[in-house]
Amino acid sequence: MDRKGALGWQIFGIFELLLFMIIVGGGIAFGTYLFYGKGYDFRNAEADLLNYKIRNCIMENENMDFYNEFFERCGLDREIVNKTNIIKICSNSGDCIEERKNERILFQSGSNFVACELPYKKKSSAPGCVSKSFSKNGERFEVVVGSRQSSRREFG
Amino acid sequence: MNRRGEGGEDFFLDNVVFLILLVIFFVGMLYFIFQQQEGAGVWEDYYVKEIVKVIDFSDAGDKACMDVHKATEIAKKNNVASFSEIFRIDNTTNEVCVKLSRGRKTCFNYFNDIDIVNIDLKLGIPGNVLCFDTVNINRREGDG
Repeated sequence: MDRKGALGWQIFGIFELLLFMIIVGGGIAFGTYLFYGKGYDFRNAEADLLNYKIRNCIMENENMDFYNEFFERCGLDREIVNKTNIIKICSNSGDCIEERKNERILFQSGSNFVACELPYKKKSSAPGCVSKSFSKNGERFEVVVGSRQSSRREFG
Repeated sequence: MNRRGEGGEDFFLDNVVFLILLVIFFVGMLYFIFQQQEGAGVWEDYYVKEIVKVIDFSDAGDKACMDVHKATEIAKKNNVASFSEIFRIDNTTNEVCVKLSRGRKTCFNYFNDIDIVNIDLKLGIPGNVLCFDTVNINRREGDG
């Protein structure tokens, strides 16, 4: 049997088969994605909920040492919040997201708050953000919260 | 030279790579398709986030009940072994997991610093309902 050139044809055949599998498999996966959609985007809802809890916490607590007491007083899990959320609390600031002056930033966890201002269509990887302000004892507070957590599919 | 029978083993050896690739492909596609049965992935995502929403909104001392009838129907159709496997809440990692198909589950973390206790899936209330209580967190050893 003449095997010259047979190896070349086999390698070509493997690539042909791989291409076939990519087209078929990719088509099935894409069709499934089109049918079921991207899923439930919870980032804005979580940010809104966390923002609400923080505002309530500030309203109910006087003279809070934000950097030492914030998580305990507001009943938040430090590890989870540091991992999945960004928080910035400002006092008497015109724009908390852009604020740089330390005396007006009461608390900050995380960075890149400018991502909160991206247009929604481009925000697929950016955090979902909510910014709300309120007044207490003549002081104007602004709370900016972002959530970047997405659900995880695990084996088990 | 006797060439009878020689072609058989040559054919197998020449095509074993193709056979392995095809088997891997079909197993992978079947696994993917079974995961999508009844839209399990989508409903897992929905329920895990709804449960987290309730937990995050709760204060210590609250009791919450949620209608999870749809989730239990999907889990039953996908042959999940028992109802106790469907909803898992882990207080040490602040994590909720929902499993509506065999082999995989969807998980999400909650930020509220409370413990979830007395988790109970009540059947036929009418409909199936998941209830739980929220309590102040039990401090773990070493925490300040």
